[in-house]
Amino acid sequence: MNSLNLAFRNIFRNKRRSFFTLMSIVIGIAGLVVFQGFVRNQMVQFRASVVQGGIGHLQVAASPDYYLKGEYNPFDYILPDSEKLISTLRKVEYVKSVIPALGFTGLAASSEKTISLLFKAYPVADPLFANRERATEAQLKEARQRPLLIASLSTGNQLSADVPNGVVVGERAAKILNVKLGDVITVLGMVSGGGMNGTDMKIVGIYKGAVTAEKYFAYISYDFAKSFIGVEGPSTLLLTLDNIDNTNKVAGLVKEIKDPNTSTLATRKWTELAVYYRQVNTMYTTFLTVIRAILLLVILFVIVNTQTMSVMERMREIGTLRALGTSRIQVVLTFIFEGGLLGAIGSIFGVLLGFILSWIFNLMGGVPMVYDGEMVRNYFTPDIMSMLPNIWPVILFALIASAGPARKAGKLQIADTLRFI
Amino acid sequence: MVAVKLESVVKDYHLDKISVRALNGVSLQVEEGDIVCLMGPSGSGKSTLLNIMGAIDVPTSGKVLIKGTDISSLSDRKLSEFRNRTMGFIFQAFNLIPVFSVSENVEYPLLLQKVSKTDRAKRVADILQSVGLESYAHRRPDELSGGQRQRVAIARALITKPAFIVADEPTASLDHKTGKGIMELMAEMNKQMGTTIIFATHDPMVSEYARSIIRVLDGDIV
Ligand SMILES: Nc1ncnc2c1ncn2[C@@H]1O[C@H](COP(=O)(O)OP(=O)(O)O)[C@@H](O)[C@H]1O
Ligand SMILES: [Mg+2]
Repeated sequence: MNSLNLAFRNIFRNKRRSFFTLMSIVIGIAGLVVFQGFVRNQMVQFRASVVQGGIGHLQVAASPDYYLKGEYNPFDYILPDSEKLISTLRKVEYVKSVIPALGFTGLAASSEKTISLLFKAYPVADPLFANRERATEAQLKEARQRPLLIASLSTGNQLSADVPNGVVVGERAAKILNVKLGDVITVLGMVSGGGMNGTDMKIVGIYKGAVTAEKYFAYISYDFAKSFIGVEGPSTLLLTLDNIDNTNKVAGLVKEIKDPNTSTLATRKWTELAVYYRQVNTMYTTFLTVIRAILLLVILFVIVNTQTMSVMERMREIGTLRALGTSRIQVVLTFIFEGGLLGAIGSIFGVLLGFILSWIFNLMGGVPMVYDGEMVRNYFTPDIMSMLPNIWPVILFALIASAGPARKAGKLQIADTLRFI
Repeated sequence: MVAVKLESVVKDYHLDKISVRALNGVSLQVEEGDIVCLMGPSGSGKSTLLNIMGAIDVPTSGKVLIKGTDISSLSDRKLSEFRNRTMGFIFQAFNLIPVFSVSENVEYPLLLQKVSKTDRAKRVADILQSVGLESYAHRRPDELSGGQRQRVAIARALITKPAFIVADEPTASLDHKTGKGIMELMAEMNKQMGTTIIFATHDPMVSEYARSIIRVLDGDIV
């Protein structure tokens, strides 16, 4: 109690030094908070676009094996009696739409080259789903809540019923095959029951996406795919929900559905499937961790320096306190508390300043950025609920930083500090 | 009763490779209630002797008994508590805690003893009155004159009713008149409370306040 009181008083004693020490923490933490706010805003938007980009919030397949082998051998995993399952799933709470999908591997050949592609097939007749060019304004508005086929086309159109054998390929695949919009590629694929089938596909669109996706993923019509590989139903069902935060809940509800045809339904959440999202998220998380580590290191040095000077300046005072009966341990605690308080005050005010700056930046209109050819304003939305990790490590590091100087203060020989010079 | 007893106390200071002998096997004892003055020129070993008697320094060899207790056997916590309860210190440079007010400075030794708040307030008010500083209770040390600061230090040293007070050149930072006032105050406190006072000085005027004088020269008592 004594030590804490003394520590508190001493912080406000060398005002200039405490001010600079605190400022370095406050500015560092505020910068971190603003950056976190920016990242969070980006990720929330990104999350929405990922889910709309063809993954759905939740996928349902016949068995977990599908996710290991299904794309090479979809025939064993076709959901039987899918119409009934779709209507059952539509009735599950929070579910907004259920979309059948098929995936399979095929060899795609241009006049120059042959590569292996993963074909993903979705219904194209539904204007709300894929054929957005023909949708009315009201339909488009609703479509924003639903999956789009492909997030960002660089040229061409989405798939439509007008070109039944249309295909949308990635920029990298198009480059490797050396094909452009309107060209035709020949696709060779396995069919149900064994054997091969071949067909021509017309390139109606080229998309830009994650590096690996661009090279391997191609999109075609669900009906066309069904007849090409000779199956009756979808291999997966894509579920979109009213709210992304309900994903876990719905996954639980779906697992309880007893389908007479399949023993257990396998589910995959969007987070498990969105590779690019995960990559970006990991990148940002790593980035934030590195910034945080550097910040903590700087704070460590600043506080070691401040506390060392503090101890040196107060030698005689430490000796006096000891002569009056203060024990070594109490002296050590005083200096440790002092450092801890600097850390606590600095980080709390840093968080506060971070929120104030975010608010000001948002008032000024955020950061304009070009995204997909469109001007998008990015705002700073730090999350008050995740601020604790910006505070306690600072306090911890401040305490650690103070330990050395504090120990030195405790070890001082009383008579040496009191010598009158 | 004996307040402090030293038996063949030797103190060596080590400077890099050479060692300096500051005390040369000193034996002495101070009776309770006495006012003892250590007289001697600068560098004779007065401060060293006082520090050892005040248990804020340890001898190289020899025995120190404070109120019969051999302090060399105490842990830091016990020794700190012992210092807090048994002695008071007055320094040449006053050594008040600058972040504390006058009353907080005086109160501090009682805080360490965990005396109740009401008790503390009463004792602080009483002692400040007896050193004539009752109206300065809320001032900071840097708002006081040197003489006033030393009065605060005396109040702080006396508040625990210690067995004895160690004062190293208590008047050396003060002018002649103020110094006299401080010595008179200490003599008065000795009379009122019976507190043993051991002080060091090289000023003959100040030594007049002592009842016994111990002369120190080159680390020996003469
Ligand atoms: N920390 C120290 N290191 C080395 N020598 C010291 C130290 N303290 C005191 N001395 C020496 O010990 C002797 C006694 O010093 P001191 O007790 O301060 O004398 P006084 O108080 O009478 O002036 C002096 O020669 C002084 O230089
Ligand atoms: Mg001296």
